[in-house]
Amino acid sequence: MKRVACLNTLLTSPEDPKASEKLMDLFNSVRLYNKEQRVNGVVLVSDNALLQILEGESHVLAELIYRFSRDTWTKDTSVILNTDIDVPLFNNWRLKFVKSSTAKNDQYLRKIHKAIVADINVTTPQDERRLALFFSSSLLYASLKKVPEAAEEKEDGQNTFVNKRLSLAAWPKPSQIKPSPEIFKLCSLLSRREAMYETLKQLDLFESAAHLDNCLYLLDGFGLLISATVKEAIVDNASDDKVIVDKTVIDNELPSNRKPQIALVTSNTKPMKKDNPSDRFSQVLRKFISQTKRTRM
Amino acid sequence: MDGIYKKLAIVGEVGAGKTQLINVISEISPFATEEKSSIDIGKEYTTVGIDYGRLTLEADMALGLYGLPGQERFSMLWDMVKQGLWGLLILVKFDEAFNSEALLTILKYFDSEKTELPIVVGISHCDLSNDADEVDAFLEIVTQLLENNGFITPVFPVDPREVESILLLLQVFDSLNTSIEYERELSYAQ
Ligand SMILES: Nc1nc2c(ncn2[C@@H]2O[C@H](COP(=O)(O)OP(=O)(O)O)[C@@H](O)[C@H]2O)c(=O)[nH]1
Ligand SMILES: [Mg+2]
Repeated sequence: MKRVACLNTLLTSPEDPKASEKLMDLFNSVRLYNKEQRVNGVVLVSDNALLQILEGESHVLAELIYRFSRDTWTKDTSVILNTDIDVPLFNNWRLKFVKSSTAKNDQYLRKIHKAIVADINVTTPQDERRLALFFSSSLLYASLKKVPEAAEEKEDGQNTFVNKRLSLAAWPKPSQIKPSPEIFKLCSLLSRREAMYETLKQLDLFESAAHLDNCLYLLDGFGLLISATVKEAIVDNASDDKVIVDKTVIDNELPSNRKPQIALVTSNTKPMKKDNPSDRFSQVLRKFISQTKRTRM
Repeated sequence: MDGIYKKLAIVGEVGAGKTQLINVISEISPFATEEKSSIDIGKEYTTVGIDYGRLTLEADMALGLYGLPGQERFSMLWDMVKQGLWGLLILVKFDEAFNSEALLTILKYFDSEKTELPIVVGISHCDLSNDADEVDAFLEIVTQLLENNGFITPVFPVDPREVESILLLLQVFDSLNTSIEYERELSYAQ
C-alpha cells in the first residue's frame, strides 16, 4: 500500500457560490471514486489550495492524481509525498475545510503533520507557501512551544460566551450531537440571527443555564458556532476576519462508534407563551409526537 | 370553518422516498381511519402528479403533505403549493451522483423572497451504507454547498420508512417555526 500527498490550486475560491456547485460535484465524484477504489485519506481545503493525502493501491492513486491534474478546476498539481506504508493513517475518506486556526483544527492538523512530515519533499517556493496554508509555521514548531489544547475554554471560571454575539456557522451532524428538541430550537434560532449570550439565557430554551452552556460548548467544540465580541461591529459575517469561524468536523480517525454522542435531556412539552393559532398547532403537534413516541416504545 | 391547516412540501428526485414518507405519516395520523371513508381530499393534486397525504391532528387541524418531483421542469407544480408553507423538505438520495445544481434550484425557487420558510435537507437511503463516516462525508459536502450559497439549513439522514425518523423531522420543523417566535422576543430584548 502507498501513501501519496499532493498539492493543487483551485482556479476559483471554494466559497464562491458559482464555483461551489461544480466544486462540490467534483468532490462528490472523487468521494464515490475513492469509495469504489478503496482509497482513504483526506482532502484539505484552505483558501484556494488543496492538500490531498491519500492511501491505497499504487495504480489507483496514480490514476486519481492524474485525473486531478487534468481537471479544469485545478492547476499546478505537485506530488509532495510518495511512500510505501504498512500501517494506514486513515480508515475513511474525508473532505475538510480549514478556515482558521482553532484548537480543534490545530489538533487535527498537528496529528496529520506529525505522521507525514518525515516523508514530505517540498522543493519549490510555491509548494512551501501552499503547504504553509495548512501547517502554518506556528503549527510546525508547535512541539517546541506546547500550544494549549483548548485555548478558548474557561479562563478563571469565566464563561467564554459572556458578552458575545453568537450565531450558527452550520448545523451539527447527528453523529456530533444527538438531536433533541432543545438543540433544534437553539440551532434554529442561531441559524436565523445573531443573539447575545445573555439574551439566550433569558429565553428559557433549556431547563437550566448550565444546559445551555453545555450545548454551546458542544457546538463551539465542533467549530459550528460563530462568536464575536460585542465591541466589534459586524458588517458582514462572511468577510469579517474578526469573527471566528471554524468548520472543523470530528476527527476522522475515530471509529464512528467512539464519536461523542451527547444526549440532552428532553422536555419537549414546555408551554408556549402566547396563544395564537400557530402556537396551538405547535402544541398539538408536539403532543402528538410525544404520544406517538410513547405508544411505539 | 375556522380550522388550522398547514402545508409541508416534500421535493425530491424519483425514488428519494416522497411517496413512502407521505404514506407513513398519513397512516399514523390519529384520524387516519375516518379520513379514508370521507371525501377524497387532494384529488386535484393527485391528478396532476402531486403526491398528497395528510396528518390530521384534530377534527379541525391538519398538516397537508405534498410530494413534488424535483426537476425544475415541474416548477408549475411547485407553484401550486408554494404559498404559505409551514416547511419545505428536500429529500436527497444518499450516494447517488448528487446534483448540486438541482438542489440549489429548488432552494432558490422556494426561498426566492428570502422568506422565513423553514427548510430541511433530508438524506434518505443512508441505511444502505454501513459506514457512518461515509455518510458524514456526504453530509459535509451537501452542508458546505448550502453554506457557500448562504443557506444555513439542517442536513441530516431521514428514513422515510421509519416513524421515529419522521417524528424527528416534524420536531425540527416545529422548532424552526417556533424559533420565529423566540426571534421576536429577542428583537425585543436586544
Ligand atoms: N432502504 C431504504 N429504502 C428507502 C428509503 N427511502 C425510501 N426507500 C424506498 O425506496 C423506494 C422508492 O421510494 P418512493 O417513496 O416511491 O420514492 P419517490 O419516487 O420519491 O416517491 C421505495 O421502495 C421506498 O420504500 C430509505 O431511506 N432507505
Ligand atoms: Mg412517488
